[in-house]
Amino acid sequence: MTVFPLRFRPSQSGDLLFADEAGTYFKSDHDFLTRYALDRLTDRDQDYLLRNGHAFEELGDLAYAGFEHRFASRLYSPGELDYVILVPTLRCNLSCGYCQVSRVNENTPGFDWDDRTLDAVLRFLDGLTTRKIKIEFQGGEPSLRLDVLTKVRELCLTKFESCEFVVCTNLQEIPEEAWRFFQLPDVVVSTSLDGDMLTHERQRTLSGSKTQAFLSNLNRALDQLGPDKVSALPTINPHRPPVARSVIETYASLGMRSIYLRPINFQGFARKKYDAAASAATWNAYHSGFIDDLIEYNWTADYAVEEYYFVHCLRRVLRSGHNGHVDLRNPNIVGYGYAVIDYDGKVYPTDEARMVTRLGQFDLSMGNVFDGIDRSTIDTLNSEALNNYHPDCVHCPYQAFCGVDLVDDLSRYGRIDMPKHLTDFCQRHTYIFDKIFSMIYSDDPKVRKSMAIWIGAPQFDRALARWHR
Amino acid sequence: MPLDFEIAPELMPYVADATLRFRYLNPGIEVTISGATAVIAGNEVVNIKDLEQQFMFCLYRQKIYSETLPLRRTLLAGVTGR
Repeated sequence: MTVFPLRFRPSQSGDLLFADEAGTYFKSDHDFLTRYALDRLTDRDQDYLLRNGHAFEELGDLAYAGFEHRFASRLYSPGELDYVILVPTLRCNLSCGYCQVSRVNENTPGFDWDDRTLDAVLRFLDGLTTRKIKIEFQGGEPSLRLDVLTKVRELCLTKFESCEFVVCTNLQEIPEEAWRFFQLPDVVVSTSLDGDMLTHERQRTLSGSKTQAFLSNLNRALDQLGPDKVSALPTINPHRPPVARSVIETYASLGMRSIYLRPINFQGFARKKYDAAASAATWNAYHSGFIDDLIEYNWTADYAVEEYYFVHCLRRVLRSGHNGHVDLRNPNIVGYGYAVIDYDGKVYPTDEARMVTRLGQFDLSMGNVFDGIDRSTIDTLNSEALNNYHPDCVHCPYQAFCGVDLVDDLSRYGRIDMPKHLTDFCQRHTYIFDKIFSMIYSDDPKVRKSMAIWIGAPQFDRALARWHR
Repeated sequence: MPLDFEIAPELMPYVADATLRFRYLNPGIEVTISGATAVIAGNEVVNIKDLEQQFMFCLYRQKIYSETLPLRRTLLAGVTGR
């Protein structure tokens, strides 16, 4: 019998978590670790490992093939380009101190698509081979260029079988023609709501009248479009965060059940104002407390609330195939299934790559809509985008659930070969997976209730807390 | 206060790599290998018993990694078709 390699990590409760490259896990004790490491497995150990897919008798047998299937399903394989972020303008009618995208004042000329750029973008979209498309309009404030949004949508409706359009708007000053666009059946709206209204005003609107204008538009969007067509994200300053409960109650009162907490991004203009480089520990502490408060809230709430990224990571632990988040994939091949087209027609593999380039750190563009795509730089990066052989990740039981984010590493450290455990990415994800496994193995009924809701099950199955004793 | 402990014979082939990795993870902690004995010395703020466990984990991990690398290569080649 041969055991598929197991990685292990001690937990706070004193036992050890074991997991393999296919993402199958169990807990055991230090005696088992010693027996495993020193080739002294008992018959009982061997029986457990064989029965649970951790071992095989001979290459190619059913257990081996099953493991390979699970292993393969953990890996991300990009499909054809079917998700495009368009930035038709950098102009914006707000001036948030931490704006994650480089922005300019509303009346500044020269930061919009001109007719030539629009034509080239339409030709680019027309040349795609996909049958379905998702277009996300970002900015700046994209509702300032409703003419562009309308032309892009018109082309897509004639070109693709299925279309979805997301308008990322600050909902600050919305003209009636924009409301009409938002009401179209294939259009959804994404906005920012920084926790509670006080925090939103401090971080974004800066005045009571602007806060009221935003709140009025947000309520109108929820009333007219419905909560299914409106989503909101809070950007959190880890050093001055809003009280978790107030964030939860604010979102819940608006009928929003999913909150995606995002720390102020180190990239973009944000880093000129805030010390985001050393904030992983601060962020993790806030996030952990937020999850605890969510669990407490959900215990008695009529409608449960989730933290989007935590639940995304939880689902990656429990199931394969959850590759919907561009920052958490393995291998994290960028520039194929997804692209960003900037205000000047340049194409980037991700929004973060756009910011890294704009700040002059590295040129991570991959051509432009006038001359075509050039992936030579990005493919060099992609060749390092696998964590299976990373000298730190090979020892980590969370490797199969985790991923890599080389653009984030480049942005923060100017290199991709930092010791992994010193990176913000590793520190944040190690914390998240520690938290997830502490909750998978928890007997607390409050924890188990939220976990069941978050995975969409009537109960959180105790069989998910696998043990070999 | 330095701590010394014996290393099992089957782990000896992995001592050099494990020591290197331990030092990488714990810069400033001294490790000396003398025969089958490891001596670890840290400053006052570290728990020396924790360091022994960390060192043993490094040894175990290095042994597991080295022994299973061919299997992992075969598995990865199988799923990527290379």
